[in-house]
This record gives sequence, structure tokens and C-alpha cells, in this order.
Amino acid sequence: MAGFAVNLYALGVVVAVVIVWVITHRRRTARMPEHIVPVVAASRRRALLAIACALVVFFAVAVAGLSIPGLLGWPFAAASTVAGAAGLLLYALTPPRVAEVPVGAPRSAGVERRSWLTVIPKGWLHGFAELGAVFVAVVVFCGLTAVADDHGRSRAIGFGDQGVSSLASPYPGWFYGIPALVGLGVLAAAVILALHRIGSAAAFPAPEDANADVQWRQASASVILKLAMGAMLFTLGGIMLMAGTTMGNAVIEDVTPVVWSVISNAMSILGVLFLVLSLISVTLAALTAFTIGERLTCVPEPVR
Amino acid sequence: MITVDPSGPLAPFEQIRSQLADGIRSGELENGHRLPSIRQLAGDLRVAAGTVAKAYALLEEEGLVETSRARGTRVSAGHAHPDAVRDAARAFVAASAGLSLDEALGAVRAAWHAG
Repeated sequence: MAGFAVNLYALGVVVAVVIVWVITHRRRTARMPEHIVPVVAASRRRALLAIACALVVFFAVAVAGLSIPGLLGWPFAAASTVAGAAGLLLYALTPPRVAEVPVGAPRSAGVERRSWLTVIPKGWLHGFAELGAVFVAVVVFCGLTAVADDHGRSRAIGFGDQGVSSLASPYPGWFYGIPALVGLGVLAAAVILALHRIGSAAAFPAPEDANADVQWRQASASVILKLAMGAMLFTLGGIMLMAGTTMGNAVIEDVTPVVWSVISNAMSILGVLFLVLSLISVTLAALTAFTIGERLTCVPEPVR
Repeated sequence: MITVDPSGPLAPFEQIRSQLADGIRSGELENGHRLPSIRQLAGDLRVAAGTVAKAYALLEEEGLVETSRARGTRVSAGHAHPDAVRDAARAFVAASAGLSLDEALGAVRAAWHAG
């Protein structure tokens, strides 16, 4: 089942990459000021490398998780968040390209302080924090509702009364929840580092490029956040789908309160939804990365 | 926005200091405004960090900014010109259309000494 899901996800990524490639290939006609071109090209490269690195690490961890059954799927609990963090750390460690200024030429700078917070596009910080809160809440809920399996690991859920009982596994108790939370923490730290790198990059030197400077920073920050969002959504979706399915298997009709069936169905549906959204988020990250700087175009096409 | 011209007559640190001081006195940079970090401004202007640090130190000596490790470098209160001076400056600039900055300042200096 997990192998099928990974294959399906990989197929989705491939389709998404093809769509991104086709769309961006048709849009590469606009021109931008000469001195900005190398900086924007380097920004695109760094953002795309971060996404590629994240995907490679994700599939490597996924393959490791599938090929070592003894791990009981444990690597999947942190695969996407650790992979996203790896991509973002690569981004943070790659020095940004600086727009060159001719020797002796005047150069300008704004007097506003930049930080990792100031480069985040409006509304994203709240969205990101809220998703993180949902992530933690789901993991804690699953951890608290889990029971120990035959080997004492918190990865089962059980229902019953005096006469009948049932136990189903694998359930995302603390056995999967702790690595998921650690992965989330690592991802959050990597996001801050990557955003700090964007905020601390030297600005374009000409006053007329101030708007372009804000735009490339926001576009790059948006790639970082979409990639991180995709990583969070994948793990969250996986945990919810796993919890919903296992909970549904454990529910005993006419014995277990009906609320558990509702929770089980809701978690399964939301789990699938979040998995799809994670794919969309990573695709949007790639699309944004491919198009960093397209809104900076202010040089008209030459008249022929 | 501040501009540094490496080929200008003033040293870069003085260009930075004077433009920030003008911004503070004109009220463009309000009380409590947090200035960019030394590293950020030096990177943006492509000058050495020591150049910006020297400009900030001079501004601090003049009492125009306050620096603390926790709050960074912020504009101190009470240094903006009175509103009447700012209004008069704007009116003067509007009336000086066609003059260069040096010529306009020359007119101010002449009036200052005459008055």
C-alpha cells in the first residue's frame, strides 16, 4: 500500500514537473534589465536546486523506509519534513549572487531593516503557523489516543467494552509522532535559515530597482514557504490517512461511540486532501522558482 | 534611500552619516525607526562594514541614534526640525525650481549670514 502510494506520488511529481516545464518554456520571452539578469538567474537556480534536493532526499528516505521492513515505516514519519529541510539548508548554505556595481559608480540602499520576517509575503506567516499548529495538534491527538502494540510500541489503537475488544495497527501514535515532531522542528529551523539568507542578501544597487528587489525576495521566500508547506502537508496527510484508516478498522459497530467513526472518516478524507495539496504546493513552488523575476520585467521588447 | 558616490568629495562614511542625519532631522526617519544592521547597509552599499559602523558611531555621538544589542540602532526622539522649519524648507524647495542644490543652499547661507 505504501509502495503504491509512493509510486503514485512520484508519478504526480513527474506530471507536475512536465506541466511546469511546458508552462515556463512558453513564457520565457520577457526581458529584464541587464544588470539584474545574472542575479535573477542565480536565484532561480538556487530555488530549483533546493526543490530538486528535497525531492531526491525524499525518495532516498522513502526507498530506505520501504526496503527495511524492520523500521515499520518509521522513516516515512519524517521523510518529507527532513527532505524539505535538506533542500532549504542547501538553499541557505548557497551564497546568493550579488548585482555587480561598476567601480566608482554611485550605489543606493534603503533605510528599512530587513530580516527573515520582513521577506515573507503577506498572509503566509499566519498560514504557515496555523498549519504547524494543526500538525502538532493531530500528532498529539494521535499520540494520546494510541495504545501499545504487542511489542510495547505506541503504534496501535483499540476499542472495546467488557465483552468485545479490537486492536488495529499501524496507528500514528508516539512511535511515529515523535519523529514527525522532530522533523517539523528541523523543517521550521531550515525555513528560518533560508528566509534569513534571502533577507540578508545584498540589495540591487540602483534606486529604480528597489521594487524589483522586493519582488525577487518575496518570490524566493514564496518558493521556500511553498516547499516547506508541501513537506508539512505530506507528513500531515500521511498521518491523518493512516490514523483514519486504522481507526476505522478498529471501530466496533454498535459498541464504539459513533463519534470515532466520524473522526475516522474525517481524518481519512482530510489525509487524502492534504496529500493532494502537498503535491500542489510543491508544484507551485517549482512554478514560482521557474518564474522568479518574471514580474521584474520592465525593459520593453525591441521594436522590429 | 541613501546613496554613496565613491567618486564624490566626501568620504563614504560621511555621506552615509550626513544623509541619515538629514533624514532624522527632516522627520523622514521617525522616532524609534530601526535602522538597517551595519552588515545589511554595508552589503547594500558595497562598502566595508567599518565604514557604516563609523557613520553609526558618529550619529550616536550626536545623539541622533541609540544603539543597543537587543533593539539594534534606532532613531532617538526629539531631533526632528520643528514643523514650521520643515514647511518652510518645502516651500523654499518649491520656489527654487531651476536652481541646483548648491545654488539653493548658497541662497540659504547668504540669507542666514545677512539675518
